[in-house]
Amino acid sequence: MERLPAFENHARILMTPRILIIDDEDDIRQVAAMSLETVAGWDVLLASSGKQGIERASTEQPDAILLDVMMPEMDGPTTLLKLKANGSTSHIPVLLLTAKVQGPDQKKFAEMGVAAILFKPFDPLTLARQISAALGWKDGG
Amino acid sequence: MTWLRDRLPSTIFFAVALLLSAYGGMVLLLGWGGTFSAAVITWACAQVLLIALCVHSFLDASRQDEAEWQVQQVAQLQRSILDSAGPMILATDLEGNLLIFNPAAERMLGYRNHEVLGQLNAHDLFPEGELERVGQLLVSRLDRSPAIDLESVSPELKHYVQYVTSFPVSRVRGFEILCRRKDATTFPAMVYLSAVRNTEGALTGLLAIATDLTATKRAEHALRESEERYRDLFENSQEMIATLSPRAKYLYVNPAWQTCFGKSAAAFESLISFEAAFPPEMQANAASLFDRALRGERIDRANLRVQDSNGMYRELEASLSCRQDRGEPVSVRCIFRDVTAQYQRERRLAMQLAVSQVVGESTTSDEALPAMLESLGTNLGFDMAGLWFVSSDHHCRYLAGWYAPDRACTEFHRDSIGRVLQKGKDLPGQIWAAESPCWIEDLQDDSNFLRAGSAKTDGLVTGWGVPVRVGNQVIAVVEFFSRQKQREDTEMMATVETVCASIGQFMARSAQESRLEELNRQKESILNSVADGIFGTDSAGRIVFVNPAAASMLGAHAFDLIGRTVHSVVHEERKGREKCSDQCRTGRAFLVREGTSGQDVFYRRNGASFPVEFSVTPMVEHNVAVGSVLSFRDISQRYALDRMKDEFVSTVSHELRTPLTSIRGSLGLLSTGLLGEMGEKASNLLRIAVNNSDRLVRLINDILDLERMQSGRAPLTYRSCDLEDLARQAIDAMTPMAEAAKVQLLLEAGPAQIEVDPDRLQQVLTNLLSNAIKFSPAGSQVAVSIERLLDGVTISVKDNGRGIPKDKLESIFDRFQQVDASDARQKGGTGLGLAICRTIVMQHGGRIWAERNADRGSTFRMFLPSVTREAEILRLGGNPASSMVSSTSVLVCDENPETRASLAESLRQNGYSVLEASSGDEAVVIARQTPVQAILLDMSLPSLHGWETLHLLRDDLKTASIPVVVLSAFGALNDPEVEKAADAWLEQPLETGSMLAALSRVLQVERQPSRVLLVEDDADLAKVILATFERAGVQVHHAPTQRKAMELCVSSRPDLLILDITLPDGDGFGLVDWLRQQQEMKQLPLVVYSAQDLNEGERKKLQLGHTEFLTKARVQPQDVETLVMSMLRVPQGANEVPLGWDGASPSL
Repeated sequence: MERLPAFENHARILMTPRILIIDDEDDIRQVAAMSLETVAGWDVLLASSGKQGIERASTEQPDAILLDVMMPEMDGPTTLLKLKANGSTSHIPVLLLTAKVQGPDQKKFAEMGVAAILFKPFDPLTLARQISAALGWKDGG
Repeated sequence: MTWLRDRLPSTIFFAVALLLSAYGGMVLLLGWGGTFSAAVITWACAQVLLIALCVHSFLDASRQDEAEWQVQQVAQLQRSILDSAGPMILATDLEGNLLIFNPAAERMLGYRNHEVLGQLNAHDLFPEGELERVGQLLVSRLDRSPAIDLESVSPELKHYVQYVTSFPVSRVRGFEILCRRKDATTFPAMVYLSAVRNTEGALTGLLAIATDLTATKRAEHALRESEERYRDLFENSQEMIATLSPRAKYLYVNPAWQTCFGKSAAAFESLISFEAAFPPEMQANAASLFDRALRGERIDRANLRVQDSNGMYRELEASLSCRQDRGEPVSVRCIFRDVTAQYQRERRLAMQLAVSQVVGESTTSDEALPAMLESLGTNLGFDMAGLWFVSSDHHCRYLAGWYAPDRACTEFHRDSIGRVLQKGKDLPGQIWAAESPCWIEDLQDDSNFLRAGSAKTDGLVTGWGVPVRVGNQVIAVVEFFSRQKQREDTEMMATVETVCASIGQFMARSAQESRLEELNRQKESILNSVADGIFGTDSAGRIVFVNPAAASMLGAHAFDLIGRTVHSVVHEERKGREKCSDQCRTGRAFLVREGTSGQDVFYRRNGASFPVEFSVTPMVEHNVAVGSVLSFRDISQRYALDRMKDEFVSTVSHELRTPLTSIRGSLGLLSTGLLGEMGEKASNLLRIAVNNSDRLVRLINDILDLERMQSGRAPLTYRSCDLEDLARQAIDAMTPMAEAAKVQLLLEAGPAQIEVDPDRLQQVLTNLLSNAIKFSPAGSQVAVSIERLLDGVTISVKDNGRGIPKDKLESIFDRFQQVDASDARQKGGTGLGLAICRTIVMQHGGRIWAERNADRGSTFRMFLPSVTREAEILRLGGNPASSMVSSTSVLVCDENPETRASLAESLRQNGYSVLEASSGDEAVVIARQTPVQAILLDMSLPSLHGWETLHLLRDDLKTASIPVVVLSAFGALNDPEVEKAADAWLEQPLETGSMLAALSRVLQVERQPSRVLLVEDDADLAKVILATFERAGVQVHHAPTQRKAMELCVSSRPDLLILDITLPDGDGFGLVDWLRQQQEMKQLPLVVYSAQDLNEGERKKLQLGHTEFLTKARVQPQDVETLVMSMLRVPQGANEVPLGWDGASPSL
C-alpha cells in the first residue's frame, strides 16, 4: 500500500477531505454521506457500483475511497484490484466497509492493498474519526 | 573129596560090614559042607540085605547129603538172593524183631546187619507213628478182617498181620511207607509184605521187600509234572485244541473247545464230522478247511465264526495241520484262537477311523453326517442307517439317513423325515429315554415302533440303535436296520455306541462352529454395512481387517491395505508433502494404550484428502495389547454443513447488518441534533431506538461470535502474554464506562506469563468488567486480581453489586440467561456475553465460574491452565478445518502451455489451487495483485529471461517475500545471483515428486509465522513499524525497554530482532551482549535500526547472526520491512547476503 509521505499529511489538514463512497445500498450511501458531511463536514462523492466508482475515482481523485464489499456485478475486492491496477487511482487509499468480519479475509484484503477495514454497522458519529485514524491523518475532521 | 568125607561114617560102616559079611560067608561055606544052598542063600540074602542096607544107608547118606547139599544150596541161594537183591529184604517175627536184614537194607537204612538182628525192632526203622498210620490205612482198605489169632502179635504189627492174611499168598500187595535211616533221614519206600509161615502153615513172621521210592517218586513226579504240564496246557489253554481222526471224528477236545462250542467232550465224540460242530452257515467253510488240512496243507489263520451257547458270536482264527506217518494222515490237529475281542477292537478302530476320516474330510455337518452313517452302515453290514437329533424343544427329529444304494429304502426314509418324536416314542425315542442301546429283532412285533408300515414296505426286519452322547447328555440317536433277521448283538451295539461318541463330539463341535459362523456372518454383515470405515490391526499396527466402507473411502481394495500399517495407508498418499511429524495424531494414536479419538485428514489412493473423525481403541487381552480397532468417519459433510452454516450465519448476519447500518446511522444522526431539534418526548423515543438498535448490533455480533467459536472457525492463536498487561488493557478500555457509572476499577495482581489468545482473553475480561460495572452501585469498587497456581493462573473479577442467587450461579453462563430478566435488558446486555466467555475459557482448556461473595456481590473467576507445548500442538493440530479450507495457491509461470497445464494439474491433484501465467510479465502482475503463497518459475522463458522475472519479483514489495521455485532446462545452475534469489531450484525433466517436495519445503518455511521483536522506545515509530509488519503477516512484539526485550526474547523467541541502539534502561550493545550469551539467541538475525551511523568497531560489537545496519534518517519503515522480510525468507542460521544488499549500507 502506499502511504502519503509526512508533509502531505500536514497539507491535508488544511484541505477538506473528499471521500468517495462506493456502495450499492442507497440507504447506506445516504447515511454514510450524511454522517461524514454533517458530523465531520467532509466532502462526499457517491457511486452506486464498482464500475461507477472507478470512473468517479479516476476523474474526481478523492482523498479516500470507502468501498463496500458485497456488491452485485463487481464486488468490493474486484473493484479494489481494479483501482489498484489503474494508474490514476492506485494511489488513493481504500477503506473497506463490510458486514462480514472474518479473520483470514482481513489478511487477504490487507495483501490486496486495502488501507483499513471498517465494519458495518458503523457509528455515524465516529465514522469520520475512524477513517482519519486508519489513514493516519492527524485530526482530519 | 568132601563127598567122601561126608560119607565117611557110612563108608566105614559099609566097609566093616563088608568084611564081616565076607568072613561070615566064608565060614559058612566051610563049615557046612553040604547044604550049600541054604547057607549060601541065607548068606546071599544076608549079604544082599547088608548090601541093601549099605546101599540104603549109603543112598540115605547120599540122600541126606543131597538133602543137606540141597539145603545148603537153598541156604546159599537164599543168601545170595538176599545179598544180591536190589530191594531191601526184612523179615520179622511176630514181635517185630528183625530176623533178616539184607545188604540192600543195610545200604538203604544205614545199619549194619549185626547192629540190627536181634537188637532192633521193626518200629525202629520207621518214623514215629508211621507204622501205625500205614497199618491203619491198610486195614481200612480191607473188606473183612480175617479170623486169626493176633494174640502173639505185637500191637504194631497187628494190622500188618491182618493185612497179609487177608489175601492169598500169591497175591502180594505193595504199599508205601516212610522209612527212617540210621541218621534219622527218611525216604519213601514201596513195601511188599508177605506172611512167613512155618510148615504147619502158621504165621510166624512177616517178610517185607521194599524198594527206595525216592528216585522212582522223583521220576514219577517229574513225569507227572510233565504230564501235568501238557495236560495243564491243553486243559487250560484259551486256545481251543482238538484232535481229529482222518475220518473227521473228534478224538480229543480240550475244555476250551468244549466251552466254545457249548458241548461236552462226549458230545463231540458222538458228532459225525468236524463241521457238525459249527453253525450251518459255517459248515461248508469248516469242511473245506478240514479237507485242505487233511491233504497236507498247513492252514494258518483262517477265519471262522461260531455262535456259542449264549448266542454270542465268536470270531475264531483257525490253524489246522495234519500228522502223518509214512505219508498217511494219522490225525488232524486243530487249534482255534478266539479273536473275538481283537476282532471287535479292530472293527471298532476301523469304524472310528472311518468316522474320523469322514469328519476330517468334510467341513459341514451336512456332508459329514450322511458320510458317517454310510461308513458305519457298510462297516457293520446293515441296509439302512439313520441319525436323529434331539432338538432344543425336546423333540427328536430326523437329521440324516443312508441306505445301501443298490437296495434303497426310500419309503422308510421318507417316513422318517417327517417325524417328530417325543421321548420314549419309536426306536429313537426309546433309546433317548433309556439312554442306552436298544435292539428290536422284529420290527413288526414292536408296538412302539411307529414306522412299522414303511419298514415292512422296504423289507426291513431288524432294527437297533445307540445313543450319541456329549458329556452326560444324549444329543442324538443313530439307528440301523437290516433286511435279515438278526439276533441281538450286545457287543456290536456297545462298539457302535463308543464310536458314536466321536459323532457326538463332531455334532457338538459343528453346532458350535455353525454358531460361530453365524456370529461371524452377523459380524461381517454389520461391519460391511456400517458406513464408518473400520480397521482392525495387530499389535504391530498392521492392518488385518478392513471393512468395505474403509476400503472405498480410501479408494483402495481391501487386499491392498492388509498388511500395511494404518498410518502409512492414510497418510502415505500425501505425496510431496512433508512426512508426518511425530506429532501426527493418527500415528501417535496407535502408540498409546488407551483409546484416543480426534480429527485428522486422511488421504485416498489418488491423493485426494478428506477430513475424518477417528477413534482408536486398543484391544487388550490379559494385559497384553493384541491389536487395535480404528474407526473413522468422513466428516466432509459435516465440514460442508459447517461451512454452509457459517456461510448462512455470515450471510444472515450480513443481511441483518445491512439494514441495521442504515437504521443505526439514521438514528444516530438524528440524535446528534444537528439535523434539527425535536421535543423531549421525541428525543426520548429516539434514544430508545438508538439504544435498541445498538443492542441489536451487539446481539448479532455476539451470536456470530459464539457460532464461530463453537464451530471451531475461530481458532485461538496462542501467544505468551502477561496477564497483568491484558488485565490492565481491559481496565483501560472499560475506564470510560466505569467512570460514567462512578465505579472504581482496581487491579491487584503481579505479572503472570501464560500462553493464551490475547484478543480473546481481552474479550472475556472486558465482558466480565462490563458486567461487574453494570451491576455495581455507584461509588463501589470492582477489583481484578490474578493468582498464580501450580498448574495455571486464576483471574478474578469481584464486584459489590446485588449478587447472583445460588441457584443461578451455573445457569447464567447459558445463552440468553439473565439473572433477572428485567434488569439486564435495561442494562443493554445481549444475554450472550457469559456464554461467549465460557466458550473462550473452555477453548483455553480452563474453567470459568461465579461465586457469591460472603458480604455482598459476586466474584467471577476463571482458571487458565499452563499449557504444555505438546498439548498446544495437539490442540492446534486438532483443528484441521481451518487448514483445510485455506488452500495454498501457487502461481505457475511457464511459456509452454503443455508444460504449464501439466504442472498445474499435478499441483491441483495435490490440493493446491493454481494460477497460471504464460509469461514473466503476467506472472509479476498476478503476483502483485493476487495473494499467492509460492511461484513456480520456468527459467527457460524466451520472452523474458527467467531471472529478470525473478529480479522483478524480488524488487516489488508485494512480491518480494513470495517463495520462488525455479525450474531450469539446463543443468545445475551456477549463477550465484539466481541461487540467492530463488528459494529452490529444480532440474528438468521435472519429477513431480521433487517438485512437490521443494514446494512444500518453501511453503513450510513461508507458513510459519515469523516472529519479530522490535526493540524501540519511540512509541510512534514503533506503532508505524508494527502496522507495517502486520500487513505482511509477521507477528511483531514490541519491547520498549531492554528489560522487556530480554523477557520477550525468552518467552516468545523471536525469529528476528529489530534493535534500536538507544534504550531507556540500557542500550543495544548490552542487549546484544546478553543475547550472545544465550545458546538459542546468539545466531539471531538482527537489524540494527539506529539514529546514527555506526563505525566499524561498534558494528563488530553488535554482530549476532546475520546482522544488518540501518540508519533511521535514511530509511523508510517500508524498507525495514523489505529487509526484514528478505532476511526472514532465508532459513535461520544461513549467512547469505540477500540480493541487492552488500551489508554495509543500504541502497535502493
